[in-house]
Amino acid sequence: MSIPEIDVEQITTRTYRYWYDDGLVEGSVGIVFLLLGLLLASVALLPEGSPWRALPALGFPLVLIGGGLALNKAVRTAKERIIYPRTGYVAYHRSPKRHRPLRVAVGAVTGALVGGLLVLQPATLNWLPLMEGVIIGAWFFWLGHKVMVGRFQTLGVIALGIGALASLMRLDDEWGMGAFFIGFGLALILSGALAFLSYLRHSQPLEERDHES
Amino acid sequence: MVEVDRLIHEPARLLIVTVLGAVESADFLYLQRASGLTKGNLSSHLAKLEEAGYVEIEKTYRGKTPLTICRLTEAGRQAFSTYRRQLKQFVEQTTNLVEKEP
Repeated sequence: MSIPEIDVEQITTRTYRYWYDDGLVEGSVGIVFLLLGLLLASVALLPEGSPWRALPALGFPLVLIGGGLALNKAVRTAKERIIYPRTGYVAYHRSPKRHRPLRVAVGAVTGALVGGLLVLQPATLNWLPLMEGVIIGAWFFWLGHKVMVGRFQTLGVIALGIGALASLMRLDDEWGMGAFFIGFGLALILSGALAFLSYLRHSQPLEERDHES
Repeated sequence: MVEVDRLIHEPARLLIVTVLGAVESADFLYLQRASGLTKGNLSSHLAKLEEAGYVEIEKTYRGKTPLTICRLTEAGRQAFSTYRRQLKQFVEQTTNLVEKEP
């Protein structure tokens, strides 16, 4: 019996990677991060004691959930109109329900660790942007490794760098976190835009291809 | 010696089944790009897989553009999983044989 020279793992990874090839996903995550950063920065501009300074408590989940849902819809529409006619349609499996408790547990433990650290050692508040950089950077690094997208690993390093820089600059709480989200949001948007342009350069709509053949 | 499913063992069909095994469904255009097969070849391999009950093909439209959506059936997923297990066994058996030789 001869064994076909087909690397099943590689093909599977390539199929998963297709979702990220066009840069639309990271660009949309970048927009959410930029909005969060602008929200924090606008709060930092308000005078001390202003009731509006409590805005992030309300605005953060609103931008995160509302913006996330709206952009998710926008990404799917853009893929249907631009990506699928060029390079084909793929529907992915939903994440297995058995993975959900693990994800919730990781999120809860990370949140508890950061929250606990901030309560017990208020001085660590200065290092909050660095902590965000480490957590978000590690996640991008892991995703880049999983789907073999090198630019995600670069983005992981950039997240860490921006977090470290924002912490070392000893900015106010909101300014520090705002600087991190604005900086990393812009990095994601730039990376997504470059990936999208590269995708458009290397693919053609179906009609043009059909005329050529 | 392990006997594998000849229908899946053929390289082009193995490629198609591997791609479909990783997703819920994919259209003809994506499969063509991922496999590098011509339209005719891909249609022929898909027809064989459909005939065996391994693949389900749905012809639909997106706007005015015809769309052919392909997905592995439960039988197809089972067959692919069995094939991978058998291939792994075969490689292990062969490795053991080679190691035992003086």
